[in-house]
Amino acid sequence: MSDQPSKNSPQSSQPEAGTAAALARLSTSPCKLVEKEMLDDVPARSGDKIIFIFRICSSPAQLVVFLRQKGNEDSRPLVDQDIRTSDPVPVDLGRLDPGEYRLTWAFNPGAEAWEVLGELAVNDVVRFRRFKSTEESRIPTNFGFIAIEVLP
Amino acid sequence: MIHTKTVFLILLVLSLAKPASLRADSAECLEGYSPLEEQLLLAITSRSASNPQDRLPASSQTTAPTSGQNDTTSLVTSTGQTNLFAVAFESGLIETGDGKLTLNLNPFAFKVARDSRAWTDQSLFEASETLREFSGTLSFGGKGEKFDRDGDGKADDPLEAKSLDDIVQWEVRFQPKNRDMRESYNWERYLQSTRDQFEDWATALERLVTELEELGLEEILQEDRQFCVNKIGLRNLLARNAVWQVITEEVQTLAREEKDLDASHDEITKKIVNDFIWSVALGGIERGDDFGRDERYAAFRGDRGIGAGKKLTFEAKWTEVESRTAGEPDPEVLKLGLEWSTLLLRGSDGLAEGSREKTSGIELSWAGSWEQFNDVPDAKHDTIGKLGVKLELPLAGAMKLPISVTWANHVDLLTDEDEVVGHIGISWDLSKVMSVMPQ
Repeated sequence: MSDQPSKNSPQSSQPEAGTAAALARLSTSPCKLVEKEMLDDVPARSGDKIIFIFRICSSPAQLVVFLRQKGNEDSRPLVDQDIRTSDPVPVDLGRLDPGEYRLTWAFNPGAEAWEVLGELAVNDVVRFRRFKSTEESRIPTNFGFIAIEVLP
Repeated sequence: MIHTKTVFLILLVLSLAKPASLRADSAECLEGYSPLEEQLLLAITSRSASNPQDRLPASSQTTAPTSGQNDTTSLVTSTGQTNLFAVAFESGLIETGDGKLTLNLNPFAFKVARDSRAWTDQSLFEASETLREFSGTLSFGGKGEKFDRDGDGKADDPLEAKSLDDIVQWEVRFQPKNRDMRESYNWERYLQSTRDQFEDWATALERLVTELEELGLEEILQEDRQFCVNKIGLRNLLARNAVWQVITEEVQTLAREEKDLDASHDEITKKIVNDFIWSVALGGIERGDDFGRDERYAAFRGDRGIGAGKKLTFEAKWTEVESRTAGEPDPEVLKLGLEWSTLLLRGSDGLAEGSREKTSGIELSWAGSWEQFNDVPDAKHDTIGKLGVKLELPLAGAMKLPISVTWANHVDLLTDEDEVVGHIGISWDLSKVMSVMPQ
């Protein structure tokens, strides 16, 4: 949500002395939102290659990703790993059977300031994109979810 | 009965799930919940609102690099390197004040200035750990020594440097560890200590989201950047008691897991904040003939947190001063110092009139130092003992007014104080205040 300056944006305030967040503001983060956010549910077809791409900058983090088909009681995480790079971390959801799915992700940041880009690509085309940042988002939540409808 | 904040928690979770497709005119937004409730929501739903460094006591936040040479109100110099690169950055690597020009020589800051990915990319940040262990300062100018320049037997007031090379002061520091949460030795401990609790919290969150989706409640919600919740939708939602009964258990589970996560977070954060940090410094002062003698020193400094906002700092310092007379041995001073500091009225409005910013509090410190002199021909005493209390009053922004009261075992040792009564000297440092006053 970076299309309007927040109260903490560089345009509206000076860096607060000594915060890592201020340093992050002064840097050009590779996680910065370059293209427009896409926040609608994602349709796909059975057999499509569906990949969730998580990217965090300025901080390490523990990432947990869940994928649950509607009506399924199983809620074990698909991914549970520590991330210490700003390179994109791809999570392959595999070839999904027809049905409604909910992808949920959460991360535990190890540092004060961070920027996160979450994307969902279907057959290598990004269909969902969400940016969150401690500096630029009004509500910098450390989780997100998206519905995926897989058609036959 | 479901607490109000729990209601809003659910609404927030749902609204975040459908931010774009369910957006509506702001006229439909619910109004009337307080900023406090909003903060509660953020605290519950977002770890970002309670991440590690937000809770660090101010004593572990970045402080300006200290050399202690011209600080008349401090008896003990701290490690001074914690997050020094942050200072170097924000000050543009250069600071001015007290008639001095100071360059912060931090290799990591220079590296980030050249390639910002060294800061934003965690792996590159970690690869530069060694660079962050070294730092230094180089100062030009300032005030010289008080000594007898004209040979009349009386000490003359110190002169202000006029050219850059009149007084040159340098210091090189090595500090193997700091408290920055991004350092691998800190964040690995942090994630290890919160891992199980975070996984339980994430699982509870995922279950709640799923439960809410199964109930189809998200259809009545919306969000815009003003934290908007659909007014009519909320009324309808609150009217459906059966719905709340279904989701109450999941909400309570999430709240319980959040509490556990917070507890583990607080525990490990306190440990990291209280870690023992030490540094070694080598330095010197080169002065022109009219400004005093040259000095060289080596110092071992350390500090350790001892609770919220409380810190113990110690310093052992050896100083060798150039002899005034040729052929005589250079005088040496060995100094040991210990300081206990705490923050009072942390988060108050401070003393700045009209200031809307919360301050980091008033720093109160007690300190003691002991100095042993060797080969000092004009020294009246071989040892100096001092005890002092110091208050740093916040004025505005980062500006502070330090006031100190010092007791010395010999009254003639209180040469740096502004007022001396018996064995007690009182001093204040207005230099930082005066530096921002119109000339």
